[in-house]
Amino acid sequence: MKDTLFDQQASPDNFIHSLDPRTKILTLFPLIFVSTSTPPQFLLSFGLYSLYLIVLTALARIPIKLLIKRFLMALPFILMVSAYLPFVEQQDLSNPYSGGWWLFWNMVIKAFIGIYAMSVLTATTRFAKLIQGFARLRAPQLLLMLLSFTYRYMFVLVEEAQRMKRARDARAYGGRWLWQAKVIGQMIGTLFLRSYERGERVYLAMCSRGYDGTQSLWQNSSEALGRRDYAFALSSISVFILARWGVVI
Amino acid sequence: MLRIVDLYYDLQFLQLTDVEVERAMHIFEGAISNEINATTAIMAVSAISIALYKGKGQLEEKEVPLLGMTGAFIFAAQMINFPIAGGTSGHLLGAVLAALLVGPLYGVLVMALVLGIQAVMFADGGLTALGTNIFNMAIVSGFSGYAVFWIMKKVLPNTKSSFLASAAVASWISVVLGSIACGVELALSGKGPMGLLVGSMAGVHSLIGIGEALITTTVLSLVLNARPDLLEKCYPNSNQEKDMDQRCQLVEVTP
Amino acid sequence: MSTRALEITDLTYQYPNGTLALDKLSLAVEANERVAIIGANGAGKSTLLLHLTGVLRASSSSAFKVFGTELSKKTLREIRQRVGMVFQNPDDQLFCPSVHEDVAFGPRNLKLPESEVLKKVEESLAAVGLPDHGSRSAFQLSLGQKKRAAIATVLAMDCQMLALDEPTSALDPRGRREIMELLEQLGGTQLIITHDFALAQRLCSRAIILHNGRKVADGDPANLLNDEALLDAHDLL
Ligand SMILES: Nc1ncnc2c1ncn2[C@@H]1O[C@H](COP(=O)(O)OP(=O)(O)O)[C@@H](O)[C@H]1O
Ligand SMILES: [Mg+2]
Repeated sequence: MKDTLFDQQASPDNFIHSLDPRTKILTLFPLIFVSTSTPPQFLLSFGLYSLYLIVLTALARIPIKLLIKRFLMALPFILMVSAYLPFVEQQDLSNPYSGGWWLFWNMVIKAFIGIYAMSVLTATTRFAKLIQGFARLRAPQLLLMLLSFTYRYMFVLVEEAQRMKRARDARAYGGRWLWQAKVIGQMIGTLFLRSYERGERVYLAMCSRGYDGTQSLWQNSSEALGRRDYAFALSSISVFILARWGVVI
Repeated sequence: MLRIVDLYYDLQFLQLTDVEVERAMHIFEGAISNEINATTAIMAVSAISIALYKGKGQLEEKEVPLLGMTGAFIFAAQMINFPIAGGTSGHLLGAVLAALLVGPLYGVLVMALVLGIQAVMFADGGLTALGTNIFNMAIVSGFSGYAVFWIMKKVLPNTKSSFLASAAVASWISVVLGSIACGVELALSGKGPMGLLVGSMAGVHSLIGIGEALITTTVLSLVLNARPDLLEKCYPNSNQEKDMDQRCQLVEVTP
Repeated sequence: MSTRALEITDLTYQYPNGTLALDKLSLAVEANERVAIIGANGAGKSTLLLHLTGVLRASSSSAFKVFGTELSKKTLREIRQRVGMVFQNPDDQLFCPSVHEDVAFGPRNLKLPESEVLKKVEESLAAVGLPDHGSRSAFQLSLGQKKRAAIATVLAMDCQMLALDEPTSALDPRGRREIMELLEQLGGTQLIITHDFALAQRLCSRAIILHNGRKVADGDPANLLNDEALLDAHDLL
C-alpha cells in the first residue's frame, strides 16, 4: 500500500514540486483531455506529449521504478478491454486508420498518457496541497472535506484489513468457496463496524477542539500565482497546442 | 526484463495485482467515446451536486466524518479479493452496501469519492472516463440496486431473512447492471460488437455478483447484530428497543 | 484562594444502554497539579475524560467546575478551549490531510486570525519536538510521533489543563521516554490516564484509582501503587 503512495515523495525544494497546486492541476488535467481527443494516427503528437512528461519526470526527479509499477498495475485492466480488438474489428476500407490495431493503439497510448500525467501530478504534489489547490479553484467545501476524510482514513483501514487478512491466512484459511465468501464478508463487516466507531471517535476529537460543523479543514485565503507559475503554465499549454494542432502528419 | 518480472512478484505479494476481473469495469482514457464520457460526466456532476446541496442543509455535523469514513471503508473493502474461477479474483463493489448504510443519494456520493480518489491519487481509471466510471459503478449500480431492494421490501414481509434476501438480490443486480452499462458504452464507442461485449461483461459479472451478494448479506447481518441502529433507515425493526441495548450511540449531547 | 483546576461532585453517567460507567464520582484537582488516573479496563476512565470537554453530560445533577466555571451549554466553548483532550488513539485525533492542518484545526475554530494560527502551529510543533513535520501526513509518522502530534493539536489551543488518555500505551521504550519527558517539561495542570505505574510515580504528585465508576483511592502514587492488597482488590495486579 505504502509503495503506491505517490504523493509522499513530494519534496518542497524542487522547481516542479514547489509550483502552486493550481498550476499543476490546470496544466496536467488539460493534457489528459487534449491527448484523449487526439486521433490515434497523430503519432508525433503522442510522442510530444510523452516527451513533455519525460522532461517533467526528469526535472522533478520522480523515481522511475514507481512509474513502472503504476503502468504494470494498470496494464492487465487496459489489455482486458483492448487486447481482443485486433481480432474482432475489421478495417473499414474507406478509412486507413480504422480497424482493430488502430483501436488497440488508441486505447493503450491514451491510457498511458493519462496514467503518466496523473502520476506526475501526484508524485509532485502532496494530497493536502492538492486539496488546497482545488479549494482555491473553488471546488465545493463539503466535497473537499469528505475527500480529505476518505483519503486520510483509507490507509488506516487498509492496514487494518491487511492485518485481518494476515490473521486469517495464519489460521489455514481456505476450503470451500462459499465458506471463503462468508469469512470475507465477516472481515469486511468487522472492518465496517470498527471504521464506524472510529468515525464516532474522530467526531468526538473534532468536538473537543471546538468543531461545530461550519468550519473547513484548511485555510481559505487565496494566494496569487507567482511568475514561475504563469511561465510554467503558459509554456506547457503552448506545447500541448503545438503538439495537438501544429503537427502535420 | 528480469527487474520487471521482479516488480510483478512484488505486486502480487502486496495482493494488488491478482487478475481482478472486476477492475475491468474501471475504464481508462480512450476506451469510451468523448460524447458518452461527456454525457455521463454531466450525470455524475448532477448526482454529486444534488447530494452535496442536500447535504449542506441536512448533513449533521457528525455525518461529515462518518460519510468520509464510509468512503474509506469502501475503498479498503475493495482491496480484499475473493477468488473466482480460473485463477482470477473479484472484489466487493459496495454500491448497494453503501446505499443501505448511508442512503441511496449519499451512497452515490460515497462511491464517487472513492472513484475520484482512485482516478487521481492511484491513476486507477481515467480522468476523462471518471464520469463514466461514476455512472456505472455509483449511479447505475447504486440506484438500480437500491430500487430493487426497495421494491422487494415492499412486497416481502418485514423480517430479517427477507431483508437480507432483498439485499442479496439487489447487490447481484447492481453489479450485473453496472457491467452491462459498461459493455453498452464500449460497444457504442465502437469497441466491438454489442452482443459480445455485453454478453461477456454480464457473464463474468453474474459470477462476481454472487460473491457481492454473499458478502453484502454477511456484512449486513453482522451490522444488524452489533449496531442495528445503523440500519434503521432501511430496516426499521420493531425489536429496535431491545436491540439498541447492545451498543449505543456514543455521543449523547453536543450542542 | 486560587481556583481549583477541576472540581467534580457526584458525577454519575449511564450509557444509553444502561451501563453505569461513573457512579457518584467526586474528585478535585488543584491548578498545576499532575494527577494520574488509574483503573482496570472498563473502570470508567475514558468516560470521565469525555466529560471534561462536555462531549458527554452527566446523567444526574452534579456539580462540574473547570477553573471555577460551571459546565453548561453556554460555557462549553470556553471549557473546550481550557481543557486540551488527547485521545488514546492518535489516529482518531489526527484527521486532517497534514499534521499542520490538524494542529491548526483548533485555533481556527477559535476564530483566530490566520497569522496567529500559523504562529500557534509552529510553536506547538516545536514544543513537541516535531518542528519540521507539519507538511507530513499523519500516516507517515511513527506511533510515538503521532502521539506527540496529537498533543500538539491541543497545545495550539493554549489550554490550561491537559487531559491525556493512556499517552504511553503501545509505545516502545524510547517513545515512552520521549512522551514522559515532554509531559514533564510542559508542566501545567495535567490529568493522565495510565496503566504505566512508573510514569505515575515519576511524574505525578497524586494518583486516583477508579473501579467500576467509583473512586476507591486517592493519594501519593508511591504509597498506592506499592500497596499490593489495594491493587489486587481492584484488578490492577
Ligand atoms: N459507547 C458505549 N456504550 C455503552 N457502554 C460503554 C460505551 N463506552 C464504554 N462503555 C462502558 O462503560 C464502562 C466504562 O468504560 P470506559 O470509560 O471506556 O473504561 P476505561 O477507559 O476505564 O477502560 C465499561 O463498562 C464500558 O463497557
Ligand atoms: Mg479507556
